[in-house]
Amino acid sequence: MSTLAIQWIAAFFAALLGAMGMGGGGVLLLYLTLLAGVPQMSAQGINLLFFLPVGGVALLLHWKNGLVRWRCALPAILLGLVGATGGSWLAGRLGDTLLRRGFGVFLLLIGLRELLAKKQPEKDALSRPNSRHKTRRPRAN
Amino acid sequence: MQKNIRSAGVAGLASGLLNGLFGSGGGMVAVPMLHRAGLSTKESHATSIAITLPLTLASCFFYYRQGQLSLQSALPYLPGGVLGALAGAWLLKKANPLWVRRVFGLLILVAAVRLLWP
Repeated sequence: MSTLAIQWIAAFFAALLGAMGMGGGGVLLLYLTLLAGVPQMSAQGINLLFFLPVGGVALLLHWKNGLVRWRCALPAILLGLVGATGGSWLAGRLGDTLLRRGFGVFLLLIGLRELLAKKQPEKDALSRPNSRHKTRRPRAN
Repeated sequence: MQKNIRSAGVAGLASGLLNGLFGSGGGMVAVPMLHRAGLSTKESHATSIAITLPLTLASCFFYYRQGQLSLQSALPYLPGGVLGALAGAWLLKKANPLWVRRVFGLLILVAAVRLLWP
C-alpha cells in the first residue's frame, strides 16, 4: 500500500476515535512514532495540529446534536489552560526518549482501563427536560 | 452543581497537562471525570472535545514557540482526519461506546508495549 493511503487510513481512524472523545489522538501519535519513525516531540506537534480541524468539525456536530454541556466545559477550559502551559513547558524539557517512555506508561494504564471497561450507569443529575438529544433505542439500564 | 463545576475544573487541569505534555490524551482523562461529575456517557465524550479543542490551540501556540510545530508535516493527515471526524461524530450519536472502548483498549495496550520495549 502506498504511504499516502496509509496516512489517510491512520488519519481517518485517529479522527474517528478523536471525534468520539475516545483518545483518537493517541492513534495518530502511535502511527507517527512507531511506524513512520517521526521523533516523539515532532509527532506530538503534528498530533496537536491534526486535532484542530478534527476537533472543530466534531465539536460543531456535537453542539448541533445538543450533547455539549458548556457549564462543565468552561471551568475545565480555564484550569486546563494552566495545565497546557505547564505540560508544554515540561515536554520541551524532557526530550524525546523520556517523553516516549512516559507516553508508553500512560497508554499502558489507559489501555487496561479501557479493556476492562464495564457499562457505567447513566446519571440523570444534569439531564434536562428540554435536552435536544434523543436516543433511538431505549436505554438498557 | 458547585461540586460538579469543581470536578470539571480538576478534569480540565489534568486534561491540559496531558495535552501539553504528550500532545494527546486529554480526552482520555476528561471523559471519565466528566461522567463522574454527572454527565451522561455521550455528553461526557462530546463535552471532552469542547474542553480539549481550546487546550490544543494553547498547546499548539507553546509548541510553535519551541519550534516543534510544522504545518507541512501535518498537512497529509488533515483530509482523512476531517472525514474521520464526520464519521466519529455520527457514530457517537448512534453507537454503544463500550465495544469501541474495548477494541481501542486492546490496540493501545499493544502500542504501549512496543513503546516501552522497542
